Amino acid sequence: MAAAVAPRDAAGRPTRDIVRSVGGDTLDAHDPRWSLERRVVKWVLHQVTGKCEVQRILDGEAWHSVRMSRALSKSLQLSKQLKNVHETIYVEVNAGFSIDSVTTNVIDLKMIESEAARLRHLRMCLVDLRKANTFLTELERSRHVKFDASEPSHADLLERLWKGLLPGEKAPVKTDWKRVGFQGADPSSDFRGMGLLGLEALAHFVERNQDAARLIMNLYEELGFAITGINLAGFTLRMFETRQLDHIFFAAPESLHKPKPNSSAKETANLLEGYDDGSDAAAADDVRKDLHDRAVAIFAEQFGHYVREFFSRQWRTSDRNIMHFGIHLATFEARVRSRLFRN
Amino acid sequence: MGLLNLLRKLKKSDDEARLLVLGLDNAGKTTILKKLSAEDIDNIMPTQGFNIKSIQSAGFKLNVWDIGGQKTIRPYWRNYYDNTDALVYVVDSADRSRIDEAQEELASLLKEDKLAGTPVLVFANKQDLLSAISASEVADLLQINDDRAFQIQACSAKSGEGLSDGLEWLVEQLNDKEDGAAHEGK
Repeated sequence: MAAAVAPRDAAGRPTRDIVRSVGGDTLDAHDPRWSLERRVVKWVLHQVTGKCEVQRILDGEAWHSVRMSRALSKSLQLSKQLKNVHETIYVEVNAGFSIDSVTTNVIDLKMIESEAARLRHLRMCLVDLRKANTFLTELERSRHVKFDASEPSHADLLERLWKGLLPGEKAPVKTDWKRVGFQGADPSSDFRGMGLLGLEALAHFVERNQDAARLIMNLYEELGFAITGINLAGFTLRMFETRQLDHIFFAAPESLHKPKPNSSAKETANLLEGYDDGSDAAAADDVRKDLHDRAVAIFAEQFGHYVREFFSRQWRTSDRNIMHFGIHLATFEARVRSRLFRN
Repeated sequence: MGLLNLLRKLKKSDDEARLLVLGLDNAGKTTILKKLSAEDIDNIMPTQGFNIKSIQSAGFKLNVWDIGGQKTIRPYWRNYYDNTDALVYVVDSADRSRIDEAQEELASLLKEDKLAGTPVLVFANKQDLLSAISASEVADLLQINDDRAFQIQACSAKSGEGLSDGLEWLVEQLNDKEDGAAHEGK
């Protein structure tokens, strides 16, 4: 096989422009869409069962399950034929796509019979997929909320973070913030990039895992706990954005919010999508807050797993040189990504 | 002008050029670097350690080192001085309370032997904020009296304004230096 010859300059060096970064940047996605193995397996299964992949997923079990939604989601993300459907759902994280039209679309494109059970399963999977998009949209919204110390709810979160890490010590003045690992006297600047979501994840984790959080803070004091946490919250969001963690959203409990007897399903849907026709502002707030709290709880839980894993598996066994943090974070990210895409 | 253009405009006698970006935490160093590389500046987090941007064109390589500015990291800055062709010092023009601190750090950088004679570009960043002081005020407060090549450039890393002008100046300085070196060589 003839090797491709890259353009070279007079000195024989490649002339291609190369742009490379270390630290803070995401690595290339391990996109298995075109993997030979996958295509071979699919082809064999198609020959043996006489059914396409979507059909096999929807008919595979008597009852709809998170596993079924997960399989369908993966299939949509990898399918060339269902590229349109994939774009409707995943490009721009569309939390408002129509279940009806996507259902029709899939049935048409795949030319499968619209049996009742199969249709029901497809719709239930799509409801899960939309739910994941709703949660992810909410997380991204929160990440874009700028931390504002004069906002009571923000200040309260910050105080809870402090109390969780240094219980019994009175609320901090200026420079004390460095003690819990912020860069300087004003924590608000450190929240750039992750906005309110960074603080919410930290406060949630610290309150529920006080011992672990304080241990990490003290054991690895070379890394500021708070700003490392903010960096790892960014990492966690990137992992959710790969859509390889959607099954966590699928499995999330249904809303705790009980719609008032007189509110229609359409109203609730409008509220979820942030559309408020003024009919019941209080109910809108409740629904929004409930969605937000659940999204943050799911996020913070996963964030907590990653914090523990980063410190115990990556940082503890490294040279623990703060100047190499970016490299260790990139290594950790590559490891988690390859694990996600392998599953 | 982005980093790739900067790279293409440089006269090259070496294989590599090296820019060092320093300044206090939250000055906007990483944002400037990302903006110059046409990357998303929405999700920039506090830099622990450093970021490096490496751009290669026609066998010539430009490395831009962006080192975290938090106080605990500053003692490590010295590890990155070697072979620096130009220093970019970033100041948050809207944070008056820390301008003295910024002045002190810069003053001690200018005393470093390894950075002697290195051209210095100061970005008076965050000009998009109402509370920002002007570049000339920043210049006054930084009290620079050094005979090296020196420039203060008003900019907003957020909008990108002023960044190109700063780079244009850097190209001139680096190319003058190349000319000087070539001349001495003959």
